[in-house]
Amino acid sequence: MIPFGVRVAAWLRNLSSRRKVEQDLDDELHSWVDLLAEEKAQTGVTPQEARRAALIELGGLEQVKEEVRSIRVGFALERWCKDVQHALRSLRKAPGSSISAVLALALGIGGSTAVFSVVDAVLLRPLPLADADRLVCVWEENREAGWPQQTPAPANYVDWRTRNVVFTDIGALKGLIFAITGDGSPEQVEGNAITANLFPLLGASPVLGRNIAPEEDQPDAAKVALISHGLWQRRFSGDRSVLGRDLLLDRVPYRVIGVMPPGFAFPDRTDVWVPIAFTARQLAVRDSHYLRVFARLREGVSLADAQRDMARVAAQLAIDYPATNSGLASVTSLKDQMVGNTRLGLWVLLGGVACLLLLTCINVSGLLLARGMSRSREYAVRLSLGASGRQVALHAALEASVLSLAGCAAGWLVAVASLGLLLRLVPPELGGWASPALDVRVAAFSALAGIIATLVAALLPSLAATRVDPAGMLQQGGRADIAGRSKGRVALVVGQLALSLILCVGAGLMIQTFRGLSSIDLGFVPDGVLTARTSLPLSAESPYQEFGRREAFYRQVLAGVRAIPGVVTAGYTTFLPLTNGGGTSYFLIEGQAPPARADENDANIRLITADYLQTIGIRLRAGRYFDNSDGSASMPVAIINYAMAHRYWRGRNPVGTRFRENERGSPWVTIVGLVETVRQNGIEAAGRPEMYFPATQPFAGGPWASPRDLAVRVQGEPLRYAAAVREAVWAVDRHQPVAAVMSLRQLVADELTFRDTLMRLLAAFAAMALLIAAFGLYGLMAYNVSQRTREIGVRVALGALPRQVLMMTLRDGLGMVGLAIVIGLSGAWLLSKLAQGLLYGVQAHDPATYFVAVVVLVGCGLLASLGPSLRAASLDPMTALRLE
Amino acid sequence: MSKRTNLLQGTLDLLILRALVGGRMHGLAVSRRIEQMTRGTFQVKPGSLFPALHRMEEAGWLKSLWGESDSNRRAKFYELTKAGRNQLRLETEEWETISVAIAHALQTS
Repeated sequence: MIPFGVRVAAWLRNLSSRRKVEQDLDDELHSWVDLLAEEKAQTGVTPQEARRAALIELGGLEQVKEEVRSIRVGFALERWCKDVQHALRSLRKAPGSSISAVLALALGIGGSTAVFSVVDAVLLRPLPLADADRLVCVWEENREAGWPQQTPAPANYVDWRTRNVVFTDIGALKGLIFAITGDGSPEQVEGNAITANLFPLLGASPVLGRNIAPEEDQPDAAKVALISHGLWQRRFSGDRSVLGRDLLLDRVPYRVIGVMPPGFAFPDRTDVWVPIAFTARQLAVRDSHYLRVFARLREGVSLADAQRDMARVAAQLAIDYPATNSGLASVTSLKDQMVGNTRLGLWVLLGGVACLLLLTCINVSGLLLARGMSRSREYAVRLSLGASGRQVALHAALEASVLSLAGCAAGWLVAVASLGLLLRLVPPELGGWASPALDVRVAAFSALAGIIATLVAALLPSLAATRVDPAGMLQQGGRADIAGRSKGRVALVVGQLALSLILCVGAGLMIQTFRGLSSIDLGFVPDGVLTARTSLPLSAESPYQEFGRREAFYRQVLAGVRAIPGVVTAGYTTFLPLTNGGGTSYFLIEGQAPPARADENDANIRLITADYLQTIGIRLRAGRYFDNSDGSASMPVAIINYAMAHRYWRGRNPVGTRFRENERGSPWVTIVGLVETVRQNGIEAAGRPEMYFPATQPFAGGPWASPRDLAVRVQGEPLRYAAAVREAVWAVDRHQPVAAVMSLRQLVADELTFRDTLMRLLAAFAAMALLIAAFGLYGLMAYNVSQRTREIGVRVALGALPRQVLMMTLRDGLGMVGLAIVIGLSGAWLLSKLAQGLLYGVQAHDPATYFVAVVVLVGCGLLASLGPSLRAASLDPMTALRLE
Repeated sequence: MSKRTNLLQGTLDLLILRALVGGRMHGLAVSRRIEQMTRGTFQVKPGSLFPALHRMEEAGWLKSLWGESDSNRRAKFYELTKAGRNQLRLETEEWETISVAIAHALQTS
């Protein structure tokens, strides 16, 4: 109809000369009246009569002007702007409550945004690999020996490759530690030996160079390596000529053939990937478990299908190889494997912050309702002047929108500030890949939260605004609709209190969980101990291949460390507690029949120097610790832990008995001591059977178990000794990297990082919720008291005691708290069941936690109600009755 | 012109355009001319006239300028633009099509 260009031109014209346009219209209408009056005057009436008749025919100057204005282009926009200005003005008139509303919304929206960014980065986004949801991990399973997921043995991996029907390809890797020497300072890095097909299977390609070729994945091929982006930057300054250069890994040169993308550290903090180059002998091994196996599902194959097929293959292998195979295998999606336990925690956190957001919206709603109540007269006047109910409701909605918009903007700042803390929730396996950032998706979520906030906050006030009865309001003392609004406000306050109770229960359960985890008897004494890792290179080129050289290294380093002033004692071990659940071996007990399957007698092996157990404070329960008499020439000895004795010696005292490793050439070993059990695989999994051998005695199992973790017990703050310990190591071998220098207490604390962060956040949410809800309650109570001033005055004049007035008002407040308790407890009861998987040492329906939460809520409610109640009790009846 | 305003807005436009074929006129003169043209059937009130005039001016079909009436009073005059003449032709055709169709419909029963 009317072309768009013409519309825009007209709009601009109206905008630029608005006053002239208005004046013009005014003149035109007046001229019309004059002309009509003139016309009428010619029929014989007086000029005044004519003019009056003309004015009547016009029908009202303002009305006609309004009609003309309403058809103008841009009218709707103008009216919108006016409405927004009006809303802003009314918000400005009550700055205190407006600002507190914006702050509350900022907390709710900002908090949700920040939590969402973590949930998005960790849970929702797919891994940056091709078709990542088709990738799976395949495990052996040996639950009785304590391995629900067991790293597969090479021979089993080979058979899985040939016998499965569900995977397009299947690859493997094994973890290594490399010492990088050569140009630059010696550095220890985590590495992985991978099959050549692994990265193509995953869909991972280098950003520079190429992948490992199948010919290079052979035992005698030239040694090549892929490096991580981080390593490339650190050691080669991002120089593109790195391709073709040699990297010295454990003294062996590897040619760099590619650089992986930034953030890529598959599977976990890796810096170097080399070909696994299996020998035929290695591929035949079925009882040594150390691989991690990954596969890609075929088109149309589900995880359940893969699980069934692998179960079939594993069962076949158990029949073929009964001595080594348990007959069970499991398949998990790669994403699930990496995300692990954090999934439940993150959803719980999102739920908690959603409660907080809802609470802040309800609070703002109550605020707007309260303001609406004090503006009832204004609404009544507007309604009687012809404003539609919709316009008045729109005003309330606009106020809520402006507040939400401001809340969104302020919330963004809150999100930025809290992102640092929330980063601690990202599981380490996803470290490089999941970087929560405030990007477009998160901004969209923030906008959505803002819209929801607006809708929730505006709902009741808009409804209330439309239900104003103008006639009733404009009469003196018209209170018909106030009752309705009051009921609304009460419901809102009860809602806020109930949500706070739910958050308090959640926080309480997390606090209990954290306390439970922190007070686990670790079996050792973590305070005052410094730890470091000096993993000796064990390649063919390295002098440390030889047992004597290794032994000399430990002896010299320990001597150097003990000489540091302030050091009490020091020792070496294969793996510190909590760091590694593996490194196990099968054994046979003298005098007992060998088990049906070799892996039924399985215990962790640790090679230790004489003072290690004393250094980290593992208690001796029977027998003795190792001492200097246990050398390479003396009788082979061992110390076992309580878990091993309990499981395999069943009540007999193991000290003095003998056992041997189920390995050819292993000597019979005499048990000389029994120590406390420590946990190997993180802080929650129970301690496994563990056997300790002296590092001074040759170990038939091979150099893989040679000690690498150093523990030093010191006086005072452990980290102060870090530099001295490094020096002591470099005095013995200046090419040996010293890594992971930290206090043992820190190592333990890191285990709890996720739960700790979760606990702090939920506690913060609960505290904020209580504060906001208490303010809501206070506001409502204060309003009620001011409304009932007359009534209270009458009561007091009739003889009521101040105490009775106090109780009366307190009862109102506590009544709301009581109702909130009922609702909140039911909600908490239902919701906490969902979080059971996160809890430790406490049940989801733990009565003590619920009780404390209720007490806290009642306390807050009491405090909030106290002020208004005291004010009510101290009302002077004379002034009260005079007020209107 | 209260209940059937939607249908008659198009009609009003057509009538105003037709009225101005004879040259420029001020608002009152336009409504008198329409009254005359339709033999008294349509008496356009200012509440409908002025919004229509202004709307059509914004659409570019009319041009306005201040001048003097016959009685030397200051008044705002409207005249057709080229686009307006075109629009008049279009609306006349459309009206004829519609009226033929409706006449047809009312004949057949």
